Amino acid sequence: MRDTLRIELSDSEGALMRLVGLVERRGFTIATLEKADAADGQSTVIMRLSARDGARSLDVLTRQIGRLFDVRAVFTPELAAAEAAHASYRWRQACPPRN
Amino acid sequence: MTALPATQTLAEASPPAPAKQTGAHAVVRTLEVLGVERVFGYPGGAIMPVYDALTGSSLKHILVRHEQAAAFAADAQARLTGKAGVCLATSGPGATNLLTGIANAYMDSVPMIILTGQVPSGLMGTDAFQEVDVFGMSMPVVKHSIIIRDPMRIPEMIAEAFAIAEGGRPGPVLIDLPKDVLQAEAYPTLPPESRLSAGPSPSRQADLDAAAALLSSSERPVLYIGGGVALGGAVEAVRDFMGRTGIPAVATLKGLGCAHPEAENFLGMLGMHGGRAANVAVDECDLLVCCGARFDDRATGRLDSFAKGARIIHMDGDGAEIGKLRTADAAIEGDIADALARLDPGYLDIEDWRKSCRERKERHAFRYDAPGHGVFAPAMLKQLSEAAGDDFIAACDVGQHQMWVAQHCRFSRPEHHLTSAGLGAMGYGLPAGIGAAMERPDAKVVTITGDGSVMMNIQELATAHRYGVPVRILLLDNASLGLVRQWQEYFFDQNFSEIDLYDNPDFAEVAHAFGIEAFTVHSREEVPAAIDRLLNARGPILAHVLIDPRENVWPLVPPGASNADMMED
Repeated sequence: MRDTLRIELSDSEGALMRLVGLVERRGFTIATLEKADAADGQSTVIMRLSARDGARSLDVLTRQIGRLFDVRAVFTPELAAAEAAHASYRWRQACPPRN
Repeated sequence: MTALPATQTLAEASPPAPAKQTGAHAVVRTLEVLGVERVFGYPGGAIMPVYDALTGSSLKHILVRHEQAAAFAADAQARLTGKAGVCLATSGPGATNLLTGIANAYMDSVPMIILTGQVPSGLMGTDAFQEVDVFGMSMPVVKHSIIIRDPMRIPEMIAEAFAIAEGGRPGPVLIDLPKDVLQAEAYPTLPPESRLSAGPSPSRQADLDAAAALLSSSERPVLYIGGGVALGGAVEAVRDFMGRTGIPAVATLKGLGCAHPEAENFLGMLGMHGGRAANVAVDECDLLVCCGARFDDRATGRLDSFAKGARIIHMDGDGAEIGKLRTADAAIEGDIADALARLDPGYLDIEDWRKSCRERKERHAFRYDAPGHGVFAPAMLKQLSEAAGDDFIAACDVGQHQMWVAQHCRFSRPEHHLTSAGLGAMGYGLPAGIGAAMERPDAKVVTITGDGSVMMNIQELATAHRYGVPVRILLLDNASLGLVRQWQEYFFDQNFSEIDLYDNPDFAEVAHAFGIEAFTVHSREEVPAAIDRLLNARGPILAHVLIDPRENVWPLVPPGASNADMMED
């Protein structure tokens, strides 16, 4: 099953590489990744991903992403992934924003 | 770390600088202003501007003989002080030689600043001489990393790196410094206040109430102490909680020293080489209170049989650890010391459980009456740590001796047990002992190593000699890679493959060649005098102790087995 995450991160050098590397190392495969720049030195990344085995928890992954220094906030869709594929995403914050 | 007024310039904040200041001067003077006193490093091409700026600085540079040792020494200093250790190397091989030490700090959550020289910005990405992408290579093993592209931002970015390394769950932060940035003329202003928060938040009262309810209804609770206790400054809180509740406690390798060493209800280390009392208590408990531990596989054995009948309270300063490997019935994220102080389950009616844990601890206590006249390493280590007392600091290498230290030595504080726990890096012991003894010259710092491990950084005897470091080196020599040999004996049908170190050098003679006092211990009768000589030495000293190659570490949980299925001698 694929899940979707929205990650807001600063545009600092290596931020995207750090994010992608962490997701891969923690046992997830990235199916699609979309990055959009925001005006305030931040980027938004939306990725669809799936765990390589059933023991990996998306909830734990979101917290591991959330402790990256470049990451400002992590969101999961409010709708289940299957429904979300056919609807506009509404996001629920999964990790507290970093000040 | 020193707080810095936002408007102060480097020239105002530190001793007079040369008329022309460069990025390299900014690096050195920022470190001075941030309160760094000592850096461990090794010079080379791309980092030469920093070495040029070091002369005349108040920083004490310790010249190691391999960059890996610089990282290990800085790591040990950081573990003792709680402040980031600093190491320094050039680009290319200098940087790659640091990687094992960086990984070691990352795995054990040690605050560290790693400064690496880099080829000039214009050459980055061109496969230039001594160019490697250490920024990219180190990403999996750093808490954060930066490349400083603008010399004017050097103070600000270094200060931020320290704040990241030391804040929250600590870890290593790498700063890559292109040579042109170091050579550029620059007069930067000191940084503004850090944007990081000071520390973990207090836990939610509702979570504490849920945990208290679980505790109140438990008949067989066990406290499972990990390295996060010391990192969270919660040692006194753990000791108070143990005294207040009487809950039997076990510790991971990194949790040793958190419980008071004489605490009656402390059952020792759990896990692969844990004691029977600790492993059986966890196996039988109905509630496991995980405090700053992470369900590491060396501690849990087969995870699905670990504390299989127990509910879990998991408290940690790092919320990403909660639920990573075992679902928590009550999760407490935040300041561990604060959580323990506020966690009040009231009177616990667990006297029968306490008594059975105590009796098992006595029944399965380690024995030191091994037959024969050869040196019995566990007994020697026990005597050594007891003779050294509360000032005993062990810098372990990796192997059988590391496990014997964990099982048999007495630690008054967790930071006195310097061990490569997560990474298990052979070669850690000697440079870590040097870093620790420089930081705490009045303590009884002992590097405890083996004949395999010591050869991985034996060149650091030169560093110990050059600076007259009061490090005592206890080298337990079984002429083999003992832990590998033990596994081959029991799990690989005694197919002994490449573990025989019969042709080791005479280590006492090696030490002499480096100008270090050394002697050899052949028999059990010589042990008391050897311990006395080691502990009373004022400079570096090495005791080469010959032990039986057939000696093993017991108990042992076989790989893939439950902790309840321990093998014993």
